[in-house]
Amino acid sequence: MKPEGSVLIPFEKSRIAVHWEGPLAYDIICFLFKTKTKFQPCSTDASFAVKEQDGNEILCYQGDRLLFRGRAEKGALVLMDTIIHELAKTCDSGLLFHAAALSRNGCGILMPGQSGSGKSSLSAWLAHQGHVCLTDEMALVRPETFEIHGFCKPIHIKDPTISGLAEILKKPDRTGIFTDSGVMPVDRGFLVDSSHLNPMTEAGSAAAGMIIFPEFNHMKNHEMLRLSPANTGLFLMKSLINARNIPSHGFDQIALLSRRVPAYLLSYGNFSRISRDLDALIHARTSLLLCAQG
Amino acid sequence: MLDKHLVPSQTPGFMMENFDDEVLLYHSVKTQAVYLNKSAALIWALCDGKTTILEIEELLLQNFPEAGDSLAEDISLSLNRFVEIGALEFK
Repeated sequence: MKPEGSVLIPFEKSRIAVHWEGPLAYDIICFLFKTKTKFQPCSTDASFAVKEQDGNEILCYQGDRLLFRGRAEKGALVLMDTIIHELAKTCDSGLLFHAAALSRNGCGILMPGQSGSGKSSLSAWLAHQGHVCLTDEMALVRPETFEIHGFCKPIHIKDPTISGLAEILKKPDRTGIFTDSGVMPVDRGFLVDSSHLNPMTEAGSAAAGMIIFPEFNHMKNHEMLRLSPANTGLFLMKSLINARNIPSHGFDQIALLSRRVPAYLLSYGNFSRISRDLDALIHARTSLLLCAQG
Repeated sequence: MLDKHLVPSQTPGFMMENFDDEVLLYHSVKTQAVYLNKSAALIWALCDGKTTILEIEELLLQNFPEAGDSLAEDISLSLNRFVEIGALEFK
């Protein structure tokens, strides 16, 4: 008989229960959601089940509905994306963005962007340079404090060929579907445990000190452009996930955030100058905030 | 080409935020955000349901005489853009 159990995946007020069956299913859940919280009976917003089959195959259920059947490398992505979608659906405790988020010296960096904008690759690179990665996918900004809370999950690197990324991912030895170093090859790229890139990484929050809108393009040169508050507001509204759940669709709060926090459009084709430029901006910003407090 | 005696009026349903010279509009039903630069924001402000297109042109020409002949074209382009996004109607 296979071992089984349940874990609870929380984000803000939402709770999702996931039942697992078999050690592979358990390892996948722990890797994806960094949770070993055992399920306590409570009301949940949705329930999922993951069952191990023979030969690295899994079955995933959402409620009673079969969501996926097949290779674990593909199923893990389907499961992660669906659970994130479910958690976002009811979130109403702040501005929820499709965004990566990092922190450096207490300065929170919000990086909103659509899929393909390069926010995950940039998060991985910056984590490797010493930034703390809060999330590469979904970040909540609290309206009262502008504190950023990230939904902690492995970083999904879709294009490991970007110069510099391949080196930090190394060539891991595979053991089952995982590697020896917190990396899981999936159908589209890799899932990387951010603590593998920066051991200081932990789930947490940081006050929003800067907003960066990344735009990755192999052909582009590095360019950092300061955005006006109105342009910042436009880009933020486009990345807001939960507009329908919050008062005035978050428009008033986004206007306030756009006025208070400096924002930049970052075009990049490689990582060569990013760390240096970002560190200079963070230094200037934290010095300014310290002066204002003093 | 728009009839210059038409009176443009802002469509209800848009939330508006002024940022110095620029404006951000948001329509909650369409969940659509629209950015207006300085000149578009000025034209938008004059679409008050009372002022004709001709009067808008005259007002802006008085304030920005250096804009010259291109002004009418700029106004027409902006108004057409507002119509496209459903932010403007005519009386």
